[in-house]
Amino acid sequence: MLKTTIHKNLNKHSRLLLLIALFIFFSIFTDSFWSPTNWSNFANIILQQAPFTVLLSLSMTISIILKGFDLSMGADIALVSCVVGFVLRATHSPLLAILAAVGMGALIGMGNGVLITKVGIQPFIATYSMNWIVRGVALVLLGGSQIYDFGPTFRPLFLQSQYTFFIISALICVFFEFVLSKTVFGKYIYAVGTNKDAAELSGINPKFVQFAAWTLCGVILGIDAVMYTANLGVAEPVIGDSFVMTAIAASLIGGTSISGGAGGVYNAVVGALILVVLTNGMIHLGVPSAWQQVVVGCVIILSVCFEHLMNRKRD
Amino acid sequence: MNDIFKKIPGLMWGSLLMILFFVIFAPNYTNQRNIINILQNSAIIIIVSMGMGITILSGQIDMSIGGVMTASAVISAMYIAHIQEPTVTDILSTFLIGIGVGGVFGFLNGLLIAKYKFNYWLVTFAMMSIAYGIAQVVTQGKVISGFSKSFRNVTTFSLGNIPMVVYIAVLVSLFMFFLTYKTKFGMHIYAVGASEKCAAQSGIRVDKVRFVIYLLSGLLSGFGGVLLVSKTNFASANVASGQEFTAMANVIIGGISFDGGKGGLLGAFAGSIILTAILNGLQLMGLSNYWQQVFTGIFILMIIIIDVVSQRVKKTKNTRRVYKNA
Repeated sequence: MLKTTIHKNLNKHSRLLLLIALFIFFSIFTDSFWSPTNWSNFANIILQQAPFTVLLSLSMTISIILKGFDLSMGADIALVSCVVGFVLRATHSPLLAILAAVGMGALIGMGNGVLITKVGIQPFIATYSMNWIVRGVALVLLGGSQIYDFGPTFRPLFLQSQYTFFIISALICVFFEFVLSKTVFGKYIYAVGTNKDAAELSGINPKFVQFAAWTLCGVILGIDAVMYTANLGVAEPVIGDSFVMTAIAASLIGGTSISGGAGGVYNAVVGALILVVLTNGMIHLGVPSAWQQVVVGCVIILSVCFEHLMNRKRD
Repeated sequence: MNDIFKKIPGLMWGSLLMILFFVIFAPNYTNQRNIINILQNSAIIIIVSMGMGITILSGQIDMSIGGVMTASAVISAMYIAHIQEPTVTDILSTFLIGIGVGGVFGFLNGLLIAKYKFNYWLVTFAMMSIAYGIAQVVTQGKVISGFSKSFRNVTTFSLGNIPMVVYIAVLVSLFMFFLTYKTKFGMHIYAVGASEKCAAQSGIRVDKVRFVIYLLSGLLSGFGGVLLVSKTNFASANVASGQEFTAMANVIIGGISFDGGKGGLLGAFAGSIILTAILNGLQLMGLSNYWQQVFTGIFILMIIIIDVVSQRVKKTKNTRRVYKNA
């Protein structure tokens, strides 16, 4: 009995152990990553890098639960960032900018939702096409230029306290943990992700659930884009090229299953932290940053490999 | 004759209509120079679309094409850039290096997808990331340019006013047509695409077929990458980004459907030229690069939507017929 409980918990928290192992590894083998007297890099990871990656990973995890991958993510962030820049330059009002960002994010999410549910295109093809269109629109809007003029209140709103990004991400994560595990809508999402036909037969409207979930994914991205723009201090159409890869790698290494219907906020957060620690630690080890993309790709393939092995064992 | 018209997919009619629009309204569109320009610009994407064509015919998709082209372009460019006066062997080995790079990626794709049954598009998508990453590591953000005349001549030398790259594309296409239309392997691609289960039960080694398909697609992408360097005279870490999207569009315009097992590479060949002609027309009409990207995206999405919806309509029609007969 005890043995099975331990085994179960080990399986469930294997990713957390991986995170801790990576952390210890980098702490021992580099001087600057972390030591009991040196917390600056740790704070940098938790307060400056993780909040953005966690939100990307959360949005991706929700789409993977529904058996779809959101490949338009990077372009979404770029376009929302441009819209935020435009609104701020015109009005200098942070509130309007945030509203516009959430609206734009939701709009792109709805676009994805319509293509996937109404038209019936495979999610990765639909979102990949969206990626090109949305990135193109962002480029048309700004035409290779950048917006720096954010007005006097927007950036201080986010940068006044160094904990703002962390708190916002944490709140969003708690909210989605609640939605996914405690509400009927959350159960519907898992039901549709596990087996769409069975869900439909038991009275769920899978198209509506998918549409709503894709819209929510867009909203998360909108919020992420506002924070990212505030942190970066510039709106430009070329940001976010590698976000999709990062988000997929984070979700998968966090333990979200590619066959849908499994995973959650816990997986998204742990996965994002693993990826941030890995990329940050590599820089401290002295690996050139050009290698990051290679490592992220390998992480994806290794996670797929790992899941495959686990499934085979279970069978 | 009637048969041939029926065989042309509906999407192509729409695209041809658009080209007619350019013929009437775009300045200098039917100029001999512009037509050669269109052929020259479509040559490399034709070669790559052949690889995309067989993967989509087999019911899957190879998202790594753009990345593999970039990696192959960059690595082969690094090799040839140092040689001032390359001999024939130098040029040949450059091409072999590029094709080899493509082959390695194709091999890995094939191994993971065919042998270990991993999710095909996730594997190829991750491979795209790895390929771009390697290109970045190799170039370190620099642009490699200025190659010797003899290396560039492989694609740009004109034979009867038409540059070599067009002949190369036609040769590769002929080979691929032969492979898919006339050989047993080609039949097997169609069988696997139409229904993997049926193919397996009738004795086709599905994993072998899939492996060869990804290997071929990788080799073709690698070849396309080297040709790209030779034609454009430069290589950088994003020289071929998005080519998989264009190739996907070419293939779908040509009447190969995402369901697999339907259509043929001849369509992919025609689709490549048609899409290049349309983009060329837009350029002549004075559309900026950024608008071109939006337009291409929307155009391709429309094509995909039409394809998906028409397939669904066909399916419901067929089911109704079955019910009526029963």
